[in-house]
Amino acid sequence: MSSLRTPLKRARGLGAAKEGAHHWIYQRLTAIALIPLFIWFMSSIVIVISSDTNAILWLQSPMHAFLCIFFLIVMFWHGSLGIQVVLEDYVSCHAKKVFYIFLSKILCAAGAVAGIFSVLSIYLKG
Amino acid sequence: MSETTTTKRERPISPHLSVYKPQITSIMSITHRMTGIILLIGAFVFVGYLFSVAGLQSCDCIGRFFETIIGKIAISVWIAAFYYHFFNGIRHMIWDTGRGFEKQSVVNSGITTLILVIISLAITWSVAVGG
Repeated sequence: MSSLRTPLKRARGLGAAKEGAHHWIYQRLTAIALIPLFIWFMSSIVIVISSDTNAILWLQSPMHAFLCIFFLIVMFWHGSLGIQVVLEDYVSCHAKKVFYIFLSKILCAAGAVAGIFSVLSIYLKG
Repeated sequence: MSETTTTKRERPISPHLSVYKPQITSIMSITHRMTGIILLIGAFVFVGYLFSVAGLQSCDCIGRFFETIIGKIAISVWIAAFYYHFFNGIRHMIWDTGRGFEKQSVVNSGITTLILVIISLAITWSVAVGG
């Protein structure tokens, strides 16, 4: 997907940081994917809260389990891109900044994996 | 060497946020960031909830937390933050197409966003409580 950058742009290189376009593009792509997923998630929450069904029954449906995994991946991806910008803006010490961004990426990856693992284990029990 | 000492002096810095009057544009911009952080925290709590629902941990701490009044307030805050980040995110994507940057339209889209958040919250509240 790095082809979203033009060949000329890649040949010239991008400014001092040599990155940025990739971050920008993926922040928007994940945001667009999150629009329908958000609507699905919010309606699911309302249905689970207001009816007799519960989270286990809900995630034992293949469609909801699939969408939940998809949602977890895109949400943590979008969240890690977002928190990266916040850390870049507000942490002035370079070493700390790099460390916190590294830590945030690992935590987001771990969060997504733990979530996917839970959804699969609920689904497979059904 | 005298030039080096000059550059070490206190340089002017900007922006001086405190001298600005709070405006709908600046407040909504920082709120977008804050709701983003709140939602990322919520994402981890949601994963913890899924983890306990899956029976992968012995204590259902998060499920019990959701039953408490503080837990219910937290869920309400997350839902509100979700709606805000959703509608304001769409506003950002419209800006990305190069549209809506005139002073009046920035204010108008901000007000529209806030109204949509309130309406969505009211609908969610009435369905979740009444339905």
